[in-house]
Amino acid sequence: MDNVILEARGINKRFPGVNALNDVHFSLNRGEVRALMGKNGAGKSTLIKTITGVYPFDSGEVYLDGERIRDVTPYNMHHYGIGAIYQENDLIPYFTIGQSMFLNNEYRRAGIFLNSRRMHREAGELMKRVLDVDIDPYTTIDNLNVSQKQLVQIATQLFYKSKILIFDEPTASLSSTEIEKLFAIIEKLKNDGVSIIYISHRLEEVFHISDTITVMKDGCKVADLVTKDITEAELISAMTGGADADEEFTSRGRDSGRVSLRIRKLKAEGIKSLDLDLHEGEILGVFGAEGAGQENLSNILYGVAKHEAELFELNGKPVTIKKPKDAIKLNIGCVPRDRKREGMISDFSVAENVTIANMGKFSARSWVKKKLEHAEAGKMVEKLAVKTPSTSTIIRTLSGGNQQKVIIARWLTLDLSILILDYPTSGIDVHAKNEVYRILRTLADNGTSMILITPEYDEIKSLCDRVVVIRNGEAVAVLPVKDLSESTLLTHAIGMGGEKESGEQAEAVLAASGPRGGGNHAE
Amino acid sequence: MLSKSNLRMLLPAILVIVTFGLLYAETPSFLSLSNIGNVMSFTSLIAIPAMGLAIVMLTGMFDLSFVGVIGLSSVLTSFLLQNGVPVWICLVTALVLCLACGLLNSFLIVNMKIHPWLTTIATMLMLLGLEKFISKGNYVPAPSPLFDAIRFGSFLEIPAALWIVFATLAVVLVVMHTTPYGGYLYAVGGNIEAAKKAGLKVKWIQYAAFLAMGGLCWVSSVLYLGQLSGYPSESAYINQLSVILAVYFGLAISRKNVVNVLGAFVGALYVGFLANGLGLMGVQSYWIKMVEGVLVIFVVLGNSILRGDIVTYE
Repeated sequence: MDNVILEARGINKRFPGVNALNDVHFSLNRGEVRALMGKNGAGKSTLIKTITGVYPFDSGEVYLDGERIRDVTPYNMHHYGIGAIYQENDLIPYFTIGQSMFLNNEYRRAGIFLNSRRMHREAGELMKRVLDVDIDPYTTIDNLNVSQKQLVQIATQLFYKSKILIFDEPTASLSSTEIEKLFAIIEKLKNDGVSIIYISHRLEEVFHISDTITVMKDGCKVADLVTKDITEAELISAMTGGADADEEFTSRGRDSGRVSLRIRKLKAEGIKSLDLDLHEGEILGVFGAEGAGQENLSNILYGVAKHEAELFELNGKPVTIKKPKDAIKLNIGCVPRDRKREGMISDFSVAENVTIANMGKFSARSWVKKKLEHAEAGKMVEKLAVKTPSTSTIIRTLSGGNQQKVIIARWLTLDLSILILDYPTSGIDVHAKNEVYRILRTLADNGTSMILITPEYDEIKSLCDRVVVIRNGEAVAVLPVKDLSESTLLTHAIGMGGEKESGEQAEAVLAASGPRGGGNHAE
Repeated sequence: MLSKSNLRMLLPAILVIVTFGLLYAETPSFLSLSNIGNVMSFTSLIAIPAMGLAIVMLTGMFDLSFVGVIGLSSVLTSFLLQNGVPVWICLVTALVLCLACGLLNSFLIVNMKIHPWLTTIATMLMLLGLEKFISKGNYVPAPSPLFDAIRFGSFLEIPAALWIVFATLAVVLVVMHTTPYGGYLYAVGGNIEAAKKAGLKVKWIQYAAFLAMGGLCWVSSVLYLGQLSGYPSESAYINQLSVILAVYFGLAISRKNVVNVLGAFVGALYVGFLANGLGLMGVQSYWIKMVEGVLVIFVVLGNSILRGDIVTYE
């Protein structure tokens, strides 16, 4: 037992509507690298945030070195020696490296004057000695790249003599040489007795760097595994919960085979090079692990974020989408991921939210035709079964599911050819979810092609005809959904198995490959 | 030698010199010693509160109430003086008042979580009201040898008021850049979560920023009383926008694009010299504000275009 440095017992955490953590036990040994794995939304980040005191938990106990910590706050946990390294959140943009590392721990002369030279010299030395990085300690944080910022944070934590370091998706925006360097550093830290929790979606990294793996699913811990004793297939099966439920799916085969949207070599933030073919009448799923590049895709296709592409054709004609208005003109609509921020106008009525993208139809000489607006909105409310007292109700007062229906209704007033949906069921309950599915299916049956970006396998399974898997900003596979299993999907998304076009082949590879065999680098 | 980044650092200075060069070409008296002294004395009334505002702003907050604090502090000092209270007691009372106003603002903003603009507009109104009540809207004379000394005295040919300004600037810059406390202010404004994680007492730092503002308001009120031998009601209020302009000007020309005390001071000088230069050139007073506005845009825009900060849209 005394090899255990950190132990969390029976942690429960509820967010409104979800059991984010369910009686989770987690223990970490001295000097080990523990990978924390699980699908999106499995509860990894929540677990980390409760352990570091960012989220107070509802019940449970946390022990450090065998002693119960009663007051789990960020400040306390930091001082007990737990340091978390996030993407780039924890630095002050206009400080120098030296200032950052010594914030609130400055060397002083005569008690009050900064000994700036000594702080910077020691910061430089620490970076050099511990991390083997040569960098001018007077460099401003703003001028560092992501990898360098990460190193500054690691160095700062080491300066505070952290005993436990948490890395949350540390390689998400690093190049392969930077990743190698990071791994060397982690190896070195481990040998110095630092314990490490490593959260990642990338299978090959986890097998490369970790000693043990904790797998989470739906807010529960499902397994503690020893890395060298398991195969990648076993890990994936633990993550998906064993057998894939093969649920019935409704009429598919809407796919006409004609290409409606054809994109080649799309480049944008988070996307390295993406090819995409959307067939007329199909629902095309887009799936990827967190940080794989799909997060920004709806914004890119809809003209909110900038992009370059070698080819961007709609029905065989080249088009340019530089702003949402261009997309609307081409009858392309978008239901954004962040409903509250990008989707609805919170203080507008249901009717106004329905008509806002299509005011031409509902106005004459700049006067809004209120009657027509409400009549149309009323029709939509009925058609989509939106539960609202009236069409003049302010949208913010509705439930999430009903808000989402209103946003979808917005696009039904247009004669849409393509609808882009970015995780349309996030934060809405199961019942509303099924209703949204029903609406989308009807829409598809009526000939609207859709691109559905979602992190949920079930959603892909019950709606899509085909799915594009994105990894590291590139499309690595296009799979038919009909016989798709969750493990196949996940296998492609987190990077093992070949870049096979068919799910069956991937599964064959999965079954045949040895424990560390199938690492497939996207670079 | 002159690399591109060096050149960028010099840009704001070059643009300011160009503006003043234009003014100088028209009116040689602009750069005469006595005029510079005059302008500097006037500018100090803007520069000191601008330094305070910069301190508050770089912790991520804002303060508009300084005009009320300066006004009430000045009027109270004069009022007590007229009633025969010794000058040093007047000054100490005024200082306590200014610090108390800072405390009130920070309590409402930091602890009660009221928006800084809302809080300080409200406290500004209260304080301006009190000032009006005491002054009855008139000029309140402050008869004291001390204020005469500030107005007429000089040391090494430099007016006393300027010594006060430079001493204040020096103290503030020393605290900001050679002690840890300046860094703490930047840390709170730059990334409050990181500051908390580094174990900084964030609330105390926010309180300290408002207390510093209070202290600088007190210095301003002493300068007002010295230069005008009293306080014409609402004088500080009239300069409010100039102070805010000075801070933002300093921000716009700063290298890291951050609010900073020195920038605010330079901004105040720019604002002061501009108004004065245009006046000397004989620009009609009706036009001065218009021309000032254009020149501010000219410098700020010129600076960011030449630095390449502006992304052009197709």
